[in-house]
Amino acid sequence: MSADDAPLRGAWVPLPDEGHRADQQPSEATVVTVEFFGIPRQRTQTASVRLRFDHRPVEFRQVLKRLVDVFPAWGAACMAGDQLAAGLAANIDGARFVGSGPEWLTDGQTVLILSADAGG
Amino acid sequence: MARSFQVDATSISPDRATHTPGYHGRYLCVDVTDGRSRWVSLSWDVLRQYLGGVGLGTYVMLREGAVQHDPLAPEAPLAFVFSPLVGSPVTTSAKFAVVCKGPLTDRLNDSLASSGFALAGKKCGADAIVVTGRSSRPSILIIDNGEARLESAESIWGAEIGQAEAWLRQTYGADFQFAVIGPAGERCVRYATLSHDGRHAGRGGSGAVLGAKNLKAVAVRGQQRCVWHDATSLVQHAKRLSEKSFGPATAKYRELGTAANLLVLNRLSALPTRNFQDGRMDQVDRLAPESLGMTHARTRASCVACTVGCEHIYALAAKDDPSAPDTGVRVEYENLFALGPLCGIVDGDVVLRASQRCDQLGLDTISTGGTIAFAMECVERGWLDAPWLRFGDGDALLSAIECISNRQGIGDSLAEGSRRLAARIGPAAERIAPQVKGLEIPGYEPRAMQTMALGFAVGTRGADHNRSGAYEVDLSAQVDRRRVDRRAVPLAIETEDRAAVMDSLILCKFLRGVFDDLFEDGAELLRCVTGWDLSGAELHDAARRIINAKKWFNIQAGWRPQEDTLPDRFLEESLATDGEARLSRAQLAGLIVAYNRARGWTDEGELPEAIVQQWKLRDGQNSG
Repeated sequence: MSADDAPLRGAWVPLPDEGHRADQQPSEATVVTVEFFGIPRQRTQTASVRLRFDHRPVEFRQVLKRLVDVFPAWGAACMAGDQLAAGLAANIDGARFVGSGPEWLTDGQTVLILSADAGG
Repeated sequence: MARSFQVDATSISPDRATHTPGYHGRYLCVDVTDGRSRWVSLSWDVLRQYLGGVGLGTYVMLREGAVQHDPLAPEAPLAFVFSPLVGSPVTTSAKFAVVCKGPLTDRLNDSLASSGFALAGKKCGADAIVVTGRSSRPSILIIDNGEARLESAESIWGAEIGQAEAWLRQTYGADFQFAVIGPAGERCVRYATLSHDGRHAGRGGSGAVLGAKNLKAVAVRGQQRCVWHDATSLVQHAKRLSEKSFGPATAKYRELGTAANLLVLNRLSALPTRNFQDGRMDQVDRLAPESLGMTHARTRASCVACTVGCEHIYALAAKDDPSAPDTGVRVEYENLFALGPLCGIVDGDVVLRASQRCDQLGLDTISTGGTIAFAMECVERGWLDAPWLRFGDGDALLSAIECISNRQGIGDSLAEGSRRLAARIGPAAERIAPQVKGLEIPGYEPRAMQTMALGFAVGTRGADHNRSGAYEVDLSAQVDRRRVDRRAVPLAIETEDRAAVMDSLILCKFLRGVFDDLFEDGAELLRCVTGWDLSGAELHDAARRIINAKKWFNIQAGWRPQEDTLPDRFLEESLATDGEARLSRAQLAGLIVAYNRARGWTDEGELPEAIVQQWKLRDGQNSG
C-alpha cells in the first residue's frame, strides 16, 4: 500500500506530491516529506510520502510513529522502542543525520530514511 | 572445555601437527624463472602479530624485499595469503588476499577475493604462496598439495577470463581452483585484476604483476588441513554469527546489493559525476537496482561459505529481447558509479555491458571508469586529441575499454592510469586527475564526505574505501560531513583499525554491522581456532601493528609526505550542486596532522624510531 492510498486517520492526511503550497496550510500545521531509500523503499514500495501534522514544530519520533501508522506492515521493523531501528538511518534535508537526541522539524523539511550501512 | 580437533590427521605432517592450530606455520616461495621453490617458516609470534591475509601479506612483502623492486620486474614478489579462519565454518571466511607492490602506486597494494581458491590454496599446506621471477613463456603455475610446477599456457594466452577458466577446469578437473588474469593483465595494464570464479582481487593492478611474470593462471589443489584448537566452541560461535548475518544489518546487501547506495549518494550530492565535476546526476535512477530489476532478469549468488549472499547478477540481455545471449554480470555500486555517472552515462544496458567487459578482460572497474572519465574531461578541455571520447557516449566508453585492454591507440596511455596520463598532459591535468598515490578515487565525493576525504588522503594503497571505512562516519550523526573537523579523526582511525582486522582474519566487511564488538568477537574466534589466550585489546594492537607495517613499507619504497593529499580540484572548487560541500587545503592539512599525531607519527607522517621499535617493524625484513 502506498501512503497516498492510505485512509485518513485522526488529524493527519498523507498528501499527494503535487500541488502542495506552504501558504495553503493552516497556520499551526507542519508538512514533512519522507523519502525512502534502499530497504525502507523496498519494504514500503514507496519513494516518498508527505505527512501533515496539526501542530508545529514536530519531533522526529512523531514522524516515525506516523510512519508506523501509514505502513503497518513495515512499522514493526522501523522502530525499536521510540527510536529508529538498528539497520536504519535518518537524515534531515540531506544535510544532517539524526542522532539519539530530540530532532525538531519545521514545516517543509524532508526526512530521508535509508539503510544505515550505506557504504560498500 | 577446550579440546583439540583434528579434521584429517593422516594428512598433516608430524612437524606441523604440533604447530599453532589454524596455521601451517610456513609459506611457499616459487621462482617461476626456473620453477624452483622453497619453504619459509613462520613463527607463532609472527602469526599472532600479523594474523593472516593483508597483515601477514605485508610482513611477507617486507621479508621478501618487495620495497626495492619495480612492481613489474621479475624480482618483484606477489603473494596469495590465507588466514587462520579459512576452512572454518565461520561465515564469509573463504577469502584470500593478494599482496604486492602496486603497479599503479609503487606502494604496498593488497586486494581480496573469495571462494574456492582460498580453501584449496590453504590446503596446499601453506599460509601464503609467494611468486617471484618471470617465466620464459606463457605459463600456468600449478601448486599441487605443496609441490610447484609450471605448465604451458599457450592454449589460453590471449583468452578472456571466462574462456580461460573454462579451459582450465576442463583440463585440470574440479579438484583444482584457479586465479586467472585476462588480456589486460597479459599486457600489464596497471589496473588489471586477478580473477577467481568471477570475483576479482580488483584494485591496484595485481593482474599486471602476474602478467609481467608471464603467468596466465595459478592453480591450487591440496589435502593438508589445519587443526582447530576448540572445534566445538568454534562451531557454536560460527552458528551464532551466521544467524545474526541474516538480520537487518545485512538486509541491504541481500535484497538490493551495494547498488542500493546509488540513489542515496545522489540525494546527498555525494555521487561522483563527470570526473568529479559534480555530485549529482539527473536520471541516475535508471541505474538503481529497482529500475535495472524491471528491465533485466536478476539472480542472487554468494561466495563459498557465505550466508550474506550479496551478489546480484543481472542478465545482460533485456527482458524483452529473448533472442539475445543470456549472460549475467555482477553489479556493485562501484562499477555502476564508475562506468555510469562518473562517465556521464545513465544507460543501464551500457553500464552492464561495460561492467561485463571489464570482468572478462580483467580490469578494475573503478580505475577503468576513473581513467576514462578523466580522459573525457581532458578531451572536453581540448587537452587530449580524441574527439570521440565524450561524456555520456556509451559507445565511446565501450570502445575505450577495449582499447585499454589491447593497449591500442590512446588505450596505451589510458592503461597507465590517470596519474601517469596526467603527468604526460601537464600540470593543469594533474589538478583534476581523480587519484591519490596513483589509485583512482572510489564512489564517494570527498568534498561532500570529508571524513572519507581524510581516509583517501592517508590511505597506504591510495584512495581507498575498503581499507578506510570513513564513509560510515560521514553517513552518521557523529560528524557534519561537509564541515568535518579534528573530532572526526579518531572515528576515521577506528574504521581503519577495524578494516585491518577484518582484512587479516579475513572476513567480509558486510559483516561489520553484525559484530557486537569486532575486536572481542574476533579475538574469541581466534582463541577457538588457535588456542591463543588473546584479548580484544591485543587484536586491536595487531590492527595498529599492521597499519604501521604498511606505512613502513611505503616509507621504505620512497613515500613522501606530499603524497598524503587530494588532487587540487577537491581543495580549490566547491561542488556545483552543493555550495556547502567545500574542503580547503588548510582544513585537509589540519586533519592529516591530527591523524598523524593520533597514530603516534610525526606531523609529516614519518614513523619515529620509537614506533618502529614498538611494533618491531624491522624484524624479519629482507631476511628471506
